[in-house]
Amino acid sequence: MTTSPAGNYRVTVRDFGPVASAALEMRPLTVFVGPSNTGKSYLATLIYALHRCFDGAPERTLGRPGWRLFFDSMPTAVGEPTIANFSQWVGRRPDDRAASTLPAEVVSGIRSSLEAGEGLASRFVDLLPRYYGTARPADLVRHDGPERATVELDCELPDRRRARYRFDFDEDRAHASGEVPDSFVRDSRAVADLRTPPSSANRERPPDSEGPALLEWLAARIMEESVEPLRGRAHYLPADRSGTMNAYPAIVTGLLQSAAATPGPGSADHPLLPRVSAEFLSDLYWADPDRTPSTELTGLAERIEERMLAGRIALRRNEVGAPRITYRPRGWTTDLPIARASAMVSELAPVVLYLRHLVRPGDLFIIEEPEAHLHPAMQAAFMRRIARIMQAGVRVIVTTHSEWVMDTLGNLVYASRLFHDDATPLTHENAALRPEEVGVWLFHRGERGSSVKEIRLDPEVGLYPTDYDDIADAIYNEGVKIGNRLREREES
Amino acid sequence: MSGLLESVRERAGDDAIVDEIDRDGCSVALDGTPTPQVVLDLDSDSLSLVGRHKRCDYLFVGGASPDEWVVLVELKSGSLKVNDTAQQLRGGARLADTVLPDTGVFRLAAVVAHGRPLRHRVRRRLQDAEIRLRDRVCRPFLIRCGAPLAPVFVEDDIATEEQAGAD
Repeated sequence: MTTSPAGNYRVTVRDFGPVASAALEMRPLTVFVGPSNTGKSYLATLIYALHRCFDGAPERTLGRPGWRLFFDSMPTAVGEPTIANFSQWVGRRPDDRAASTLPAEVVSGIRSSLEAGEGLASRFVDLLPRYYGTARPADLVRHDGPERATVELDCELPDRRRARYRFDFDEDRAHASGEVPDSFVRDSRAVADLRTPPSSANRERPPDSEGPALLEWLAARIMEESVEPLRGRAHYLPADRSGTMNAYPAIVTGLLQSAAATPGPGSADHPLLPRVSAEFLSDLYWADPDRTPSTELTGLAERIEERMLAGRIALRRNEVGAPRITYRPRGWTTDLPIARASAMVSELAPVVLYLRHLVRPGDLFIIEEPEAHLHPAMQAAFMRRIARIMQAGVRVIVTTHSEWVMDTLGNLVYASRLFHDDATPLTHENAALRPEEVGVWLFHRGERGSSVKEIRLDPEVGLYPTDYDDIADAIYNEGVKIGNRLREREES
Repeated sequence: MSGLLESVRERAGDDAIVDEIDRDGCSVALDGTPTPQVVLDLDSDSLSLVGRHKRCDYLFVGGASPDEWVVLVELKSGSLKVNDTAQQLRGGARLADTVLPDTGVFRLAAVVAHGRPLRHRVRRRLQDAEIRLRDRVCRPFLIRCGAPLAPVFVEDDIATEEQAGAD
C-alpha cells in the first residue's frame, strides 16, 4: 500500500529572490516546471531550508524533560506568577481532574512567544540567507524595486486547524512571527507528555526555578508539533551533482564545513559555498556505509542499480576514514572510481547512496533536474522510480525541464483513472499516482519577477499543459516551413 | 479585389463569410494576417455546392497578388486524432477547389489549432499528413487555440530560444 508523508503544507512568497509571487501547496510529490531562471531551484532551496531548520532538531537538543534547552530565552510574555502556576500544574497527578487543562496564562504566554517569533522561527530567519550563499537578509529581496521579501508557512493541523508562520526579510533585518490556535496548544502531544511522564505515579511539583526550563521545552515542542509536515529530514541533490561527484574525492570536507559555517557575506577571496552544495557533500561524507534505514528504499536503490546502471555503487571508507565511492559494472571483478564512470552513473550514484544510507520514510528528498545526462528512456525510468520513492513514504520535490519526465508523470497520474471506479488500492505494482498526491507548478517569467501557478493533468489526453507544447509546436512548424521551401525549390 | 477573392465571394455566397475564426472554445486571432481577405465558415448551410463530407472548419483566403494565400483551418479544442484531422483538412481542400477560380496563383497552407497538449507521436504523424489542392502540397502547421494565425505567413520565424529562456 502507498504510504504518504505527513500532511500537506503551503508556502507563500512575495518578492523573494526572482519570484514576484507564489502560493505553493506541498504534496507528497511536487514538481516545479518552467523556463530557466524563473526561481524553481530558489523555491526548492527555501523548502529545503525550512525542513532543515525544523527537522528533528529539538529531538537532538531537547529530549524528554530533563532538560537540555533549545530556546534562547523564555517566552517573553510569561512572568513569575505564571511560572509558579505552571509548576504547580505540572506537579499534579494526571488523574487530577482539576489539572486537566493547561493554565490559560501559560497558553497565552506560549502563543505570545510564537507571535514574537522566538525559538525555531528566529533561528530560521538567521539561517535562510546562508542557503543562498549570503548572510544579508536584503539579498533575498527581489532586486528591482520592493523593499521586503516575505515567506509564509501554513501547516495543516488535526481537525482542520492551521499553524501560520511569517518571515520578513528587508535591508539588514529579518523578522519572524507565528500563530497557532489555543486549542492546539492545549491538545498538543507535548502537554499530554507533561501530564504522563514515566514517573507520573510519584511525581512532585518541580521547584519554580525549573519552571522556565519546562516552559521553554513545552513551547519548543508545541512549535515543532505545529510544523509536523516539515519534521522529516531534508536531502537535496543539486543539479550539478554529477560534476560534484567527480570532484568529490579532491574536496576536503573539513574545509567544506568551515566554508558553510563561516559568517559574513563572503568575498571573491573567500566565497561562501551555498549550504545546499555543502550539505550534499557533507551528507555523502558522513554517510554510514553500514546504515540502511529503510528496507524498501534500499530495494529501490538496488532496482536502479540493476535496471538503469547495470552495476553496483559502493560507498566504502579507506584506512583513514575518508569515503570512497565506486562503480562496478555487472560482470566486472574490479571497481571503477566514480570519476571514471559515465555521466549517467555519476548522476545516479548519489541517488542510490541516499536511498540506501540516508533517506527514511517521512523525509523530504529534493532532486533537481532528474533528466540530467540521461537518455529519454532512462529519464522515463527514473521518473517511475521517483514515483515509487514517494510511494514508500518520502516527500519528493523535483525540478525539471524535461518533456519526457513530465509525460511519464502524466501517464502515472493518468493511470490512476484505471483504478478509480472500483476503488482498487493503488499499489507499487501498477505504480499509478493519485492526482491529489501530485502537485505540478508552472513557473512563468513576468516583467517584474516570476509567478507560479498550479497546472493540472488534462483529463482527456493525460498530459500536463506545460510550456513545452509551444516549443514543440515552434520546432515542428520550423520543420514544416523547411519542407515547404525544399519542395518549392524542387518544383522550380 | 483580386480575382481569387472575387471568385470565393461569388461562389460561396455572403452567408458563409465570417469575420472571425472561433468554434467550441477554440479561436484563432486574425491580427496581422494578409489583407484583403475573406474567411469562410465551411460548416455554413449556404455552402451547398458539395455534399456533406468531412471538412475542416474554416477557409482563409487573403493577400494581394502575387502573394495570395489559401489557408485551411481546423480547430481542435478537444483531443486531436491525426487521421480524422487530416481527412478534415483534405475535405476542406476539396471544398476550396470548388470556390477558387479555375486559374490563379496562390500559396497553400493548412493550420490545426489545438487546445490540449499533444503527444510526440501526434506531431510526428501529422508531419506525414500531406494536404493537396490542385498542384500545391502542404503539411499542417500547429498553433495553440487563442494564438494568432499571422506567423503562418512568415517565412523565417523561430522564437524557441526566447520562449525557453536563457540557461
